[in-house]
Amino acid sequence: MIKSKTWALAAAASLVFVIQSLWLPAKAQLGQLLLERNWQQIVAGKPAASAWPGADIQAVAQLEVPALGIRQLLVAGQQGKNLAWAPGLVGADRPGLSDTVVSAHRDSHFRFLEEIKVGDRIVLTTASASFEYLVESMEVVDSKIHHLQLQTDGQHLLLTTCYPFDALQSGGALRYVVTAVAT
Amino acid sequence: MQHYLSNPEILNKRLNDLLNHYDPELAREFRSKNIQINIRRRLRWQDRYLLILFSILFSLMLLASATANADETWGMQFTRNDQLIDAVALNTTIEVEVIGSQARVEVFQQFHNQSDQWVEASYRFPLPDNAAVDQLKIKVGGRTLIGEIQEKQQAEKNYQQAKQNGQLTSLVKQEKANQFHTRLANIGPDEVITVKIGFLQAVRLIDGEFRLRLPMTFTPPYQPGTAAEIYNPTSELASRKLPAASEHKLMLSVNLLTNFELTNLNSSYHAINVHETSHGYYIILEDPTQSGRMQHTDRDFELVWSLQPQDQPAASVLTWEDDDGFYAQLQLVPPRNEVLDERPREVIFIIDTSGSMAGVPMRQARQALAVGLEQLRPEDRFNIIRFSSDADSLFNSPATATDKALRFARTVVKDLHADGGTNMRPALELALKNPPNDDHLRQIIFITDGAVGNESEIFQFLYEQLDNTRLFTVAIGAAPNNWFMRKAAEAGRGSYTHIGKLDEIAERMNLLWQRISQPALEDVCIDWGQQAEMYPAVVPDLYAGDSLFVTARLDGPATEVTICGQLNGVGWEYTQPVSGKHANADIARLWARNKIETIGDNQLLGLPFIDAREQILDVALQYGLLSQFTALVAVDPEPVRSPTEAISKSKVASLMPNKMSLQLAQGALGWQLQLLLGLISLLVAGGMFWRSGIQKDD
Repeated sequence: MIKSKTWALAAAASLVFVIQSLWLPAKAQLGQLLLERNWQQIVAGKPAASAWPGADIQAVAQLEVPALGIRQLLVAGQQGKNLAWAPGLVGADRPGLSDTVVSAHRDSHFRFLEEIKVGDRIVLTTASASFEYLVESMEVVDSKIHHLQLQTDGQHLLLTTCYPFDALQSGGALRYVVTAVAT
Repeated sequence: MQHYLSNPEILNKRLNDLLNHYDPELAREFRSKNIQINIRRRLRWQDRYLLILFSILFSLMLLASATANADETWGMQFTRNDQLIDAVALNTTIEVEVIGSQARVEVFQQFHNQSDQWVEASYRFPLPDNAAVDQLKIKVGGRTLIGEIQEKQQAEKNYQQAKQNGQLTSLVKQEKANQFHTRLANIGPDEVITVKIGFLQAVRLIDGEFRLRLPMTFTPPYQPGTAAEIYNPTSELASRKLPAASEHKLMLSVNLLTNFELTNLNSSYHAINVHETSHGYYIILEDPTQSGRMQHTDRDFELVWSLQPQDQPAASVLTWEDDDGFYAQLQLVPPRNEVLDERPREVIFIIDTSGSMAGVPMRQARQALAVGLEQLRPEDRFNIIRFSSDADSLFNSPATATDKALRFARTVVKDLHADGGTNMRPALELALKNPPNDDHLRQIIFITDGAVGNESEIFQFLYEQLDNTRLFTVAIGAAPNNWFMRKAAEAGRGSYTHIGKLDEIAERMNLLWQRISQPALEDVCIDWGQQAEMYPAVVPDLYAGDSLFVTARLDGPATEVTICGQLNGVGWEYTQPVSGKHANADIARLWARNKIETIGDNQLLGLPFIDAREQILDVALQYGLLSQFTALVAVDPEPVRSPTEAISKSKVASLMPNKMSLQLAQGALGWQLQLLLGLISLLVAGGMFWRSGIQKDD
């Protein structure tokens, strides 16, 4: 008979793992909440500060997909540290002047990309202006083979996330890329 | 009866009844104090299965949480605003030159700083085992940075100084084995960076087959044209494809220098074109833009070749000449196996049974010995000597390997156990006591963990007493005295085998056995017709399926080399003309590397550290070799960035360059798998905890 103490210990260890795994999606939710206040300050024209004390990120834009009831706040850059909190925007300072890329995790913020359709309207709002795009295409690409080639005309918004959406294992090479064109 | 044991309630009631019958007072007391017999059930099969299930889940969970970290990528990355961006490689060229047992690999890669800022670059490259980068050349804009081997502390000082002056600089450090990593400060906007690194890599020889393996995963994959195959799960997905990862070009060529004719020259995973040249073979990776066939860059490049079988041992000599001297590498290969006689042997196993072998090593040693005994042929003779503080042998003199003798040996081996000190000398004396039986070849197989104190004394003994006996050392355990074991085998013209794990024993011992059961050329001597500084100094025997490499430094050019030895017990001699064929400076470097190793050995044999350091430094600096006392540093004399100009650390929002290529970001956190596994194991463990609680209440 295995002692009940051993099983209690095993249960406790499992619990730690469960909590640890739940922390990641929780962080994604929490990030949006914390960025909200920060975003309101930025829209009000107050000098940009970090999202919360000690944080090295701040809200840079707002992404909306009205058809799906999605509204998310974005941070700059696409390194993993930032993407845990919010979708990351590359080219933050000048949408409209250069192509813009937004990346996020498929098992947190960008879960909704699965449901996006050709023709859906996307609104990207920065501190100074607002841009509207219509979804033109969706495709699955192998990140080992392709890099994103950005055009100079600034007419495109690309949303990227991991693919397939329901894969349990992370770290795969496939990416889902949604291309939207400025209206 | 059985159901009493499985049901505590019935058992206790029944025992109480019995006790009541014999001693009612004691029974009352037991009842009042509620003393009961607590039966512990043995682990039931359900419990065992659950335990196994739980362990599996738990390890899966650990794995899942480990994979949540993103992989580090090979190639170049730029740091800008504290953000790492993969630099886009414009093209990659790999040039390899095979010189006998070694290959000189040179990798050229070009990257483009597509931003309009000063950046710091970080370059990572996967290195093969035991290889170290000893050449470095970086071109940025119009400036060139050439790596130089310097004394270690001096190299560090020069690097720090240059960095402060705003000079282009790079210090090469191998922080991890199998990985080259260098940082490069001060890269200007829109500049193209060309990185060239060079290293020596060993060519593996297994069972007569040479194998050269090069990592390819560091190159950005590319495909012919734009006909990229994209995994397309639904047909509605739009037709617009993303352009393939830049116009990256990959070229790979191997210049195989040899005088031998090769057979089966093949690449394991890639399409190649082979050309014969005056000095060997020239192999290039097939160009996919012309053939239309795709090359896999997610697999290592592996080139395999073997030599045309010969009726005689044969030699190939590669040479190099410079102001300092004439250098040569000689490769000696055995003839076809059919030419070789199987000679009867006298095999003496020496097994270490000292206290340091206690536990697993002793088990490994016993098993290695058992594998060795199995391989003896009826015409062979053998003996087993065990030693700790003292030594004794199984037979007085080596016995013929009859079934009876082997059976007896096995029972004795089974009872060997570790105890006492380590005194090797009596064991070696015992092994060499009698001269070997006339036509028998005497081989000592020495199984030990190599924990000896009197190394130099043992070496002296080996050099003086071994004579024609060959010594093969077999090291047991995780951290044996590698150096001693290797050197002892060198002194005994044998080979060294290391067995680190239990499951390696059969494989390693069989390999050793295969090699030593067929000596192809014994008592090898090499004569260059003049004074020569040769490494290894004691030339080992040549065995079937193996190759022998000797490097030499001569005062003047040699015209021929004479090789002699014993082939099937008969004297054999052969003169190989040395053509003025020039290989490259690596011949000299290989020789210098062997010399450094020998100086290191001498240090352990009594050469003072100060002298050894000085001698090693001299050789390493002269031949441009990495060693324990030298490092590679590269500094550009011109400062390129005025100290006032910030280097990429500013918080100014970055401007998007005109055209930019972007690595797709990692797209998933991977928390679901961990959560799933966590929940299941929580359920299992929690359930078991609850169940064990209930049983206690029964």
